[in-house]
Amino acid sequence: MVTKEEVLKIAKLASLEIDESELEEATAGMSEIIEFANKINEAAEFNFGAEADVPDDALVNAIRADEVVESFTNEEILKNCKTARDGFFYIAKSGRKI
Amino acid sequence: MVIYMKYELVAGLETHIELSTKTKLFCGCTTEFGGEQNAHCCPICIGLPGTLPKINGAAIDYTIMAGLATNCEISLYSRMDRKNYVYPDLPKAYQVSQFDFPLCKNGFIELSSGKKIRINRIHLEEDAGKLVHKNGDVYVDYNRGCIPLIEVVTEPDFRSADEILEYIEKLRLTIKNIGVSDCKMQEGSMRCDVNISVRPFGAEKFGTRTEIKNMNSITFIGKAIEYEYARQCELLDEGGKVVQETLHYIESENITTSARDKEDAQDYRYFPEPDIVPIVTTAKRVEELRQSLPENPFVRMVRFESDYGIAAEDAKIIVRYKLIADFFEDSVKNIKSPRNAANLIISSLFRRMPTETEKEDFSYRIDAAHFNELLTLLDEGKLSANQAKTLFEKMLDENKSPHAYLTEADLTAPDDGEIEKLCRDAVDNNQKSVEDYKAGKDKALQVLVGYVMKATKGKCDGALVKETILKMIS
Ligand SMILES: [Zn+2]
Repeated sequence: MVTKEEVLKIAKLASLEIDESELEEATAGMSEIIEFANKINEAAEFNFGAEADVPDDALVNAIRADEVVESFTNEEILKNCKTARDGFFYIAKSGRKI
Repeated sequence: MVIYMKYELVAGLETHIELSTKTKLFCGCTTEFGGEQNAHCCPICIGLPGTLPKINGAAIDYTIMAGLATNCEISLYSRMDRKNYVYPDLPKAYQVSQFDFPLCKNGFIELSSGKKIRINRIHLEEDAGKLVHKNGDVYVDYNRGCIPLIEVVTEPDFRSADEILEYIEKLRLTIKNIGVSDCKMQEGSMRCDVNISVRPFGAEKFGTRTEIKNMNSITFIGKAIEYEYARQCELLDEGGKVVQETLHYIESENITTSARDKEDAQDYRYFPEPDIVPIVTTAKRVEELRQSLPENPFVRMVRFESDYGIAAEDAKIIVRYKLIADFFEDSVKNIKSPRNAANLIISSLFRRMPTETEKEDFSYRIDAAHFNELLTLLDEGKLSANQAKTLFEKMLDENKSPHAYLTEADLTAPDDGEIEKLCRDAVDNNQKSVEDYKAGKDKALQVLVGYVMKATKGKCDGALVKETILKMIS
């Protein structure tokens, strides 16, 4: 089980704002995800990789053509970065105040 | 020097080569070099959560082609894995790479000595972003992030710096030739990590190795290896121990220094990349790619010698630059003496392109058809070698046909009657040379032949002139 405190801590680390009204739902949702991961662990071990193990209907080769699409602008790319500077992502020398 | 006789160098190489696809490995952002920082980026290549990467088919093909060109087996089943490490040049805190199912394995590159350097694997991965350090702060540019790279990993088969340098040069030419990378070391699109250890001659067991990272100049790689080899020999000889570590080579001081060690103790926690489904290739597709490869430059070199009769040295220099080698072949169609083409290319054309890059890109404007016309005139004996060279220089200036510079009279070779008459003049006007020749001075004949050649501006066949004169005086 995931506790509300853990959810708040993770939200803080991920810079997500979660208010009291959302906390309940987020905690339940996260618990569900962890449960699902446990379920996968219970499944019979699948030997990834060996050629013989690729089932006929396995999803393979989701391949993209080598065609240029427009990139985001520098402003858009840095829009959600709290510490952008001069068009770069910026990391201050440890201890220095930004 | 004595201690170096005691220890044998054992080295292996990892070479990172940036592929020349138009787009990045997992998104459609351009791979163009330069430009404004963080302007060739999108949510996928800056690793925002919730994005779904999709692999570039050309990057897979290029990796397979690199494998085929280096005698590798191609894996019909391959997949991408996550290599986890936290560093600002990796926005996702992992690099998508390949771990236990690389696209290519078990290849080799043969050195001129006949020794085969085994290639353990070639795998596909994404490049990291670029860090700019200023006053202790770090500025990050992700334009280079997610550009496809291949890593070519050898077995520890090298026993000398020379072997390593020859291998790098061969690998560079081979990969550049198939067009999957420009392999520009100075721009960082080809970089090498060298693993080095030493052991007493005759010993089976390898010594402890160090790794020198991220070198992109042949000269410095050579110096770094020599330095590190000497350092380890001296250390062992003084009873010391080599410590396994990552080193950086400081070019300006010719020393290696221990790098802030982010790898050795590190567990990368590789696991299959869940966002990218496995890559399954068919033998048929591999064969198609094999057929699409241009001739290997080293095979081409041997063919140039045998098919065109050009000197080994000349063939070697010409095949080094694929576009120039193509130009050579286009120009010598139906030419009796392709040697003339090789001579003019090396003596005149190369001088117009002093740098390696200029020769590799061969952007010089000269039509193979025009060059072929010049070579035909040479074949027909209508021009002397010197005249051809002068004419070729003019053609290089203006990219015109040689006929643009020649009048009808220039090209009319004297007929046999005229040659006979000129030879007679030569003999009459140079009695001293005739006597010298008769007295056994073979060289004197040259004066007589030269007289005729000068009178005809080199437009007649030297052998015929010689024969005619000999008949007259003997
Ligand atoms: Zn992108």
